[in-house]
Amino acid sequence: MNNENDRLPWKKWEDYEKEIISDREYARIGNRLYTRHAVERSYPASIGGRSIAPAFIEEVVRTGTVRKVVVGRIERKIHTSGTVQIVTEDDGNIVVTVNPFSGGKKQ
Amino acid sequence: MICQNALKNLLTVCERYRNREIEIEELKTSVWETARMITDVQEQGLRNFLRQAEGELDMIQFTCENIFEESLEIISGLTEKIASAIEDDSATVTGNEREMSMNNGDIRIWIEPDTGFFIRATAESGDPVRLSGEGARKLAEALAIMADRADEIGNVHQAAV
Repeated sequence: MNNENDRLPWKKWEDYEKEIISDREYARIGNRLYTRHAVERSYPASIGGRSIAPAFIEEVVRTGTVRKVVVGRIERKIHTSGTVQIVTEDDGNIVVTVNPFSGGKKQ
Repeated sequence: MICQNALKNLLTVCERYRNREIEIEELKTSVWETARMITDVQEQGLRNFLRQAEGELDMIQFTCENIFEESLEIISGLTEKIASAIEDDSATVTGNEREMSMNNGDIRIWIEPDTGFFIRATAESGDPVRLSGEGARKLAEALAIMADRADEIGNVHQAAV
């Protein structure tokens, strides 16, 4: 993982800077926007999340294998590294959901 | 021991999802919460299975057009695994030298040195106890063990008289 990734903050939804695009609110983490769903899933297990820090998410998006799907006319990318899967849209700019335990079976 | 009530509750939730009574979000929450309740190291396999199933459901939710249809295969795997875990757990024999029970106490085997070797098998509802093949084999094992103990206790008892 590079040093730039290490600096990505791992915080609660309320504590991130927000951006609104097409009436939807996103959290700004580094160079990407995260949905509230993705941020809440990234939380440490102790507060109900799947314990996957933004730095690790960034690493999977940058280096994982990519498969494209279209859902409701929106193109999404599934980035996979080991059992970790990250779903993005808008050419990787928006992180939609994160899954450290998906196993990659269905994708 | 697995939290039986949580697993039975999850089975009900899966059924409600199959009947389209609840959305995938509620199902996912229930799967995840059940996984979190499983803390016994021996049940780590089941916990990992549930966590993976929840992850797969989440992926379906965000990457598939036909969420319900695509999720049914996961639900089938889930219900099969949970039913098997409940069955395995209810077939666990617990007890001591003179008494054993299984199926959450519905089946009880005990030894009374003066009067003999007893078995009672009645469900809480008063109905007969239904056993799986695995449960029947565990019961047979428990009966054989208790029969040996009854013989030992009988011999000791006779010697004392």
